[in-house]
Amino acid sequence: MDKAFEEKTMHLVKERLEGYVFALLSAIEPTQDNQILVHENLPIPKLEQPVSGIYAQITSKNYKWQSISMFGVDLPEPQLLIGGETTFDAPLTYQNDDYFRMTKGFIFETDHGDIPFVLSVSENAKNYFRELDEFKEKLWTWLLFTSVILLGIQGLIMNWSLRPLKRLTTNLSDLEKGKIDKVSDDYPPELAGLTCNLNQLLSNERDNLNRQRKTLGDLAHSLKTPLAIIHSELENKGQTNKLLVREQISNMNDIVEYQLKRAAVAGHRTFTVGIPVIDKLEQIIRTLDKVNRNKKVQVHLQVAPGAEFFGEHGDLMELLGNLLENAYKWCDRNVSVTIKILTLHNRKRTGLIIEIADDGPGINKEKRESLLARGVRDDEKVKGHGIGLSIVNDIVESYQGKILITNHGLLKGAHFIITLPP
Amino acid sequence: MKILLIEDDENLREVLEKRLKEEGFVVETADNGEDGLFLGREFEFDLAIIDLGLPKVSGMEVIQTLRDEGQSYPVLVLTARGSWQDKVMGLDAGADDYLVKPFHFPELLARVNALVRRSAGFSSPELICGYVTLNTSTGEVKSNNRLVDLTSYEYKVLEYLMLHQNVVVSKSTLTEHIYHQDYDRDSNVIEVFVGRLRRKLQNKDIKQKVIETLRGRGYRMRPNEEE
Repeated sequence: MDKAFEEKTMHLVKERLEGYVFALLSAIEPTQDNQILVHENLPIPKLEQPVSGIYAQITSKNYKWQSISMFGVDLPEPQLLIGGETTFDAPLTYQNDDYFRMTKGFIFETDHGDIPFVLSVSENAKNYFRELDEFKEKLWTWLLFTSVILLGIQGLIMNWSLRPLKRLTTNLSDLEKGKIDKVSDDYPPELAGLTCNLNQLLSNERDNLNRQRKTLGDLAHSLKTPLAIIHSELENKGQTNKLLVREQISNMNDIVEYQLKRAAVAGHRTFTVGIPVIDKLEQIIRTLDKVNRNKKVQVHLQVAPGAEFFGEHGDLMELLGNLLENAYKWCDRNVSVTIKILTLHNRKRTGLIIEIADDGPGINKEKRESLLARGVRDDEKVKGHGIGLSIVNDIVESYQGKILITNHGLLKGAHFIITLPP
Repeated sequence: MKILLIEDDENLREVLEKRLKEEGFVVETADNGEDGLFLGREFEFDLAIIDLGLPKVSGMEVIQTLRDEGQSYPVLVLTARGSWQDKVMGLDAGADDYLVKPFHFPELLARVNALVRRSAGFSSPELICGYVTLNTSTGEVKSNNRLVDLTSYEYKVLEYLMLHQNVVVSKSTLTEHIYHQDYDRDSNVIEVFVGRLRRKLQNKDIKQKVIETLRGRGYRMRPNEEE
C-alpha cells in the first residue's frame, strides 16, 4: 500500500514537471540572431517567486537562462541532451537538498539554422517526502487501530462461539464425577446432535448394566429354589427320588441357559453399522436346512432390498435363529419369511418388520397370551415354553419393538410379526 | 459303527465313551484338537463327535481341516455356548448337526443314529433291505415280519451291512468298524457272525440270499438279488 502510494505520487510529480516543461516551452521563442527569447509573463507564476520550490533552467550552446525563483538557489547545470531526449532525476541530491528534475532536449528549427537547447524544471522534494512520511504515519496508525479492533471482535466471536463447548467440557467433567447423570439438552443445533447421541449412549450403557445386574440377581435367586429342593431330597433319609433331582437339574439348566442368553442381549445401540438382514437370514437357513435335511423344508423368502438391522450382530442371529428354528420344528413343509423396511420421518435409520410363518398346527389363543405374558417372573417364564421364544421376546423388548403372534391366513400355522422401530 | 470322540473335558469324555460303547459303538477318543485331527485323518470313521472349544487346535479348525482333506463322515458338534453365531459357524465349517451342552444322552444317541443313517441315505430310523428290516432306534430286527433275536455283535455286523447296501464290505473293514482298535482281531469271527446271521434271517419260503459272499472280497447285502 505504502509502495503503491509512493509510485503513484512519483508519477504525479513526473507528469507535473513534464507539464511545466511544455508550459515553459510555450513561453520561449528563437530570435533573429539565433538566440532564445524568454517571454516576460511566464505561464507558471511560481517561477517568478524567489525560492518558490519550482525552478527552471534553459541551456543552449551560447545561452543560459534561469528562472527568478532560482534567485539564491544553487542547482547543478542540466545535462546536455540532444533533441527529443528526456531524463528524470528522482531524486537529485545537491548540497544536502533533494530535487526532482525533468530535463528535455529540444531543437528550434529556424531559417538561419537549428538551435539545440535543453529545458529543465526542478522541484524541491522536501514537500514530497514530508507528505510521504505523513501518509506512512497515518497508514500505520490506522492499520494498528483496525488490527486491534479486528482482534478484539475476533476474540469476542471465539469466546461466544466456543462457550457451548466449554459448557460441554464442564458437563462431561461433572458426568465423570457423578454430579449429573446426563448432559443438558439446551445446546445450539450444531452440538445438539452430539449431545443427544451422547445421552442416548449413556442411557443404553446404563440400561445394559441394569439388565446385566438384574440377570445376575435373577439367576442367583432362581437357582436357589431347585438347589433347596435337591438339598432337602439328598438329606431325606429314605431313598432319593432320582426323578425329582433330575427334574430340578433340568430346571436349573434351563434357567442358566435362559439367563446367560438374556445377559448376552446387547439391546438397542446408538452407534452401529447396519447389518444386511439377507446375509444373516441365508446363513441361518443354510444351517437349518443342513440340520433338518430329511424334512425338506421349503422356505419362501421375501426380503425388501436394502433391509438392514441397526444393532448387535448376535441379537439379530438369535432373533432370526430362534424364530426360524421353531418354524422348522413345527412346519409341515413350508416356512414363509417376509422382511419389510420400516421408515419414520425425522429418523435417519430404518426399522424392520419381520414376519415368520409356518404351515404347522399353529398356536392357540391362550398359549399365545401366556407366551407374551407380562409381569411373570423371568425364571417362571422359562417353564413350559421354549427358551428360544423368551429370548426373542427379550431382544425385541430391548429394541423397544413389538411382537405379535397370530395364525397365518394362508399357511394356517403360527405367524410371528416383529416390529423393530428405527 | 466307529465313532471318533474329541472332547477335552475328562468326565464328559469318559461318560460318553462308556455310554456309546454300551450302545454298541466302537469309540476312539482324543482330549485335544491335535490328537483328534491325527485320528480323524488316519482312520476310517462312521461319525465324529467334536467339541468346539478344544485345546491346541480348535474344534472348528479340526472340522474345517478334515473337510478340506476330503473326509466325508458326518460330524456332530458339541457346543457349550449354543449361540446362533456358534451354530452357524460350526455348520459352515462342515459339521452336520449341533448339540448344546449340557444334553441328555438319549438325545445325543438319537442325533448320532440319525446322522449315520442320513449319511447312508436313509431318512427314517428303519433300515430296509429286501425282507429284512432293522430299526435303529428300537434295535428290533425283523425278517419277513418275524422278530429275530440277535447278539450285539451280530446286530453290529447287520447294521453296518444294511447301512452299506450294494457295497462290497471286506472282512477287515467290518472288523475295523465293529472292534476297538486294541482288540485282538480275528477275521474268522466275522465269518462265524455272518454265518449265524444268515441262519437267523433265513426264511423257508424265500430263496433270496440275505447276505452274499464274494470270495476273497467280502460281503454284500442287496435289496433284490435278481436285479
